[in-house]
Amino acid sequence: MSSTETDIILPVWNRPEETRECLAALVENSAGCRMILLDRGSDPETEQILHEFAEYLGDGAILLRSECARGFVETVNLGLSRASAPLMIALRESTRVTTGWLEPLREAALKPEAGVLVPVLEPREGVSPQREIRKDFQLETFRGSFAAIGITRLLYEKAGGFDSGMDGGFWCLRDYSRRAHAAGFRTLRVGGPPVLFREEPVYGSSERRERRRLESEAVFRARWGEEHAYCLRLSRSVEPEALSQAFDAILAGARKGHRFLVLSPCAVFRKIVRAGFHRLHENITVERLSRFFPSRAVRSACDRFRETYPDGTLLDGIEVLLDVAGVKDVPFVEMKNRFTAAEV
Amino acid sequence: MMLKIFDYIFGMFSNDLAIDLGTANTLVYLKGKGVVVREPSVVAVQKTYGGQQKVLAVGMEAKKMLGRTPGSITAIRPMKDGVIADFDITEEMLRYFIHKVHNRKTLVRPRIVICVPSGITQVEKRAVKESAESAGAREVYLIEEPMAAAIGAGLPITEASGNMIVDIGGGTTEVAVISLAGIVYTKSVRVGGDKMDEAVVQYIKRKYNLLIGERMAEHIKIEIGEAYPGDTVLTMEVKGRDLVSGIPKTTEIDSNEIREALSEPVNAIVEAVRICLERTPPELAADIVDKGIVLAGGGALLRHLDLLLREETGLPVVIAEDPLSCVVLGSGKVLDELNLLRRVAISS
Repeated sequence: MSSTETDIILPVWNRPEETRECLAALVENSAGCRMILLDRGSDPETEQILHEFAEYLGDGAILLRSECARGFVETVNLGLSRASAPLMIALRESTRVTTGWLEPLREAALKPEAGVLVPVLEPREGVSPQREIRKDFQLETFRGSFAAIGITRLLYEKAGGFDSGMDGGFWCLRDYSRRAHAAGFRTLRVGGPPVLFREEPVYGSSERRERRRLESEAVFRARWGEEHAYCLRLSRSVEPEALSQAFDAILAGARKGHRFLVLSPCAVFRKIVRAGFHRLHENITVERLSRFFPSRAVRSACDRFRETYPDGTLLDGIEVLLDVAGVKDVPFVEMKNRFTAAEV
Repeated sequence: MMLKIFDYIFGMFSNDLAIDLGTANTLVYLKGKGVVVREPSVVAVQKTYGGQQKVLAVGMEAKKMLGRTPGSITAIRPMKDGVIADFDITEEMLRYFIHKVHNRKTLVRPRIVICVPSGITQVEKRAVKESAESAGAREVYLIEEPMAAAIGAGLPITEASGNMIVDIGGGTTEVAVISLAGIVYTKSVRVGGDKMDEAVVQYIKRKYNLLIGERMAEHIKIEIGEAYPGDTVLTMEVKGRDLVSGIPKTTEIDSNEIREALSEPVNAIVEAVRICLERTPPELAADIVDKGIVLAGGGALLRHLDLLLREETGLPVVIAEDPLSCVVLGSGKVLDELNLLRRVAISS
C-alpha cells in the first residue's frame, strides 16, 4: 500500500497546545498521508493552528470547520464520509503517534478480512512503560478505541460510520465491531510501536451519562443479543481434531461478544500453544492447569470466574455444558450451533 | 532564604485576602470575615511639578472627584476593559486596599487570590501578579473571573455536569461553561456596565442634544434601564448640559428609550451567550438545557436581562443570589479550600 493511501481523520475542539503537538507528531511520523482536519467550532487560537498546518500541508490536508460544537462521533463520521483512501484512521487530538506507528496498520489493512484496526495504545502518563509490541502481532478483539482507530474502506462501504446515537464510547465501539463482524470483517489489535493516548475527560452529569449508557447497552443487546461468559474445561484426552473444532466454535462465539475461559491440562496446553489457539481473540483466555493439583486449580479458576461473571456458564469438557446453577446440561453441539449461526 | 523566613513570619500576622479587581468596583474578601471592602476602582492622583504622580484618594473618595477635579488632579480608573491599563496606579490601589484591610501600613505579607478576566494574556497575568507582589503580597494566585463567579454562585463546579455562568462586569462580560473544576469553553467580550453607560450617554446626546456625565448615565441605567419590555414604563428626570444653548437642562426620559439605548451592548452579551452555547460540547449543552444559565456581576441586575436571555435561548435563566459579590465570594471560598484553589488557579 502506498503512503498516500491513508487518510487521517482528526476532529479538533479547542486545546490548542495538544492539537499542535498532535499535528506535529503526525506530520513527522505519517509522511504522505492525507489529513482531514475537522474543526468542531474551536476558539480562534486553535482555528489558527489548524489553518497553519493545513496551509503547510497543502494538498495533503483538508480542513473542515463547523461553527457549532458537534459530537466527536458525529465529526468522525463526517471525516469518514470525506475520506477516500483504502485505510482511514481516526485519532483524538490528545493522541501522540510515534515513529513507525503507521506501517503495521497499513500492512494489516492489506488482509481481506481486516475491518477495524487498533494500534498498540499506551497511556501518555502513568506507570505503563513505553514498549514496542512485535510488528507481526495481531489479535482479534471485540472493540476499538477512539484514541486511534483504523477502518478499511471496504468495511466502511458495507457498514457505514459509527452510530452517533449511542454513548460515543464503549457501546458505540462494540457496536461497530459487531457490525464489522456481521459484514464479514474482523477487529484486529495490531502490534508495532505504541500510540500514546490520554484519558479524555468525561463531561456531562453522571445521571445523564448513566442513562445514555443504559440506553446504548439496550440498543446493543436488542441488535446483537445477549452476551455470555463461559468457563470450559478441556479433557486431558481431547483429540487434535476435536480441539480444533472446539476452538473454531469458541472463536465464533468470541466474535459474537461471548467471553471464554478455557481451562487446559498441561499436555493439551502445549497443543493449544503450538496451534496458536491461545491468541485467537481477546475474549478467549486459556489457562494452564497445574500438573499436580488440577482439581484444585479448576476449583480456584471456577471461583474466580463466578466472581467476575456471576451470570457466567460453567462448561465441563467439550461434550457437555453445565449451567452455573446446575439447573440444566446443554450439549456442546447446541452451543456450537448457536455460536456459529450467521448474524442477520 | 532570609526573605522567605521573613515572609513566613509576617505571613503569620497577615490575613489571606481575595480581591475582585474589577473595572468598576474592587471588592476585597478577608478570610474569616467576608467582604470587607467594596469600593469603586478609581484613584485620584495629583501631578507634581517634577512630573511625578501623587495619590490623593482611592475608592469611594476618588470616585466623588470624577469629573469634578481641577486641572492638576485627575481621577483615574486604572482598570480598563477588565485588564490593567495603568500598572503603577493599580499597584497603589492594591496597596491601599491591602493596608486598609489590615489597618496598618507595615509588616503585612498576605496570601492573595486575585480574579482576572479569562481572556487575558500571559503578559497581563504577569503584570497583575507583579503588581500584587509589589503591593506586599507573599503569594499570589490568579483565578479566572467566571470560575470565581461560578463558585460564588454555588454551582457544583467540580462535578462532570456542565454549568454555564454569565458574569457581566464593568468592562467585560465573561460567558463560560465549567465542568470538572475547569473552564471548558469561555467567551469574553469587552462589553459590560461601562459600555452600557456610554451607550446611554450617546443616546441622550443624539436624541435630546443633552450632554450627561458617566455618573448620571450609570444612575439612569440603574434606575430605569431594562433589557426587555416589562409591565410598567418607568420615567426619570435627567439633568445635563444642552449642546445647542450650552446651559443646563432637565428632560424626562423613559425606560423604553433606555432599552433602545442599551440594545447594542445587550445584544453583544446575548450574542456571546449564543456563541458559547453553540460551541459547547453536546454532552455539556444537555446539562445546561436542564440547569439553565446563571447570571452574575453587576450587569445581571439590569432589569429583565434574564427574561431577554430566556427568550433568546429558550433556556432557564437565574440570577445569582448576590450577583455583585459572586466573584469575590467565590475567590474567598477557595481561600478556605487550598486543594480547590490549586485546582482552579491559573499559571502565569
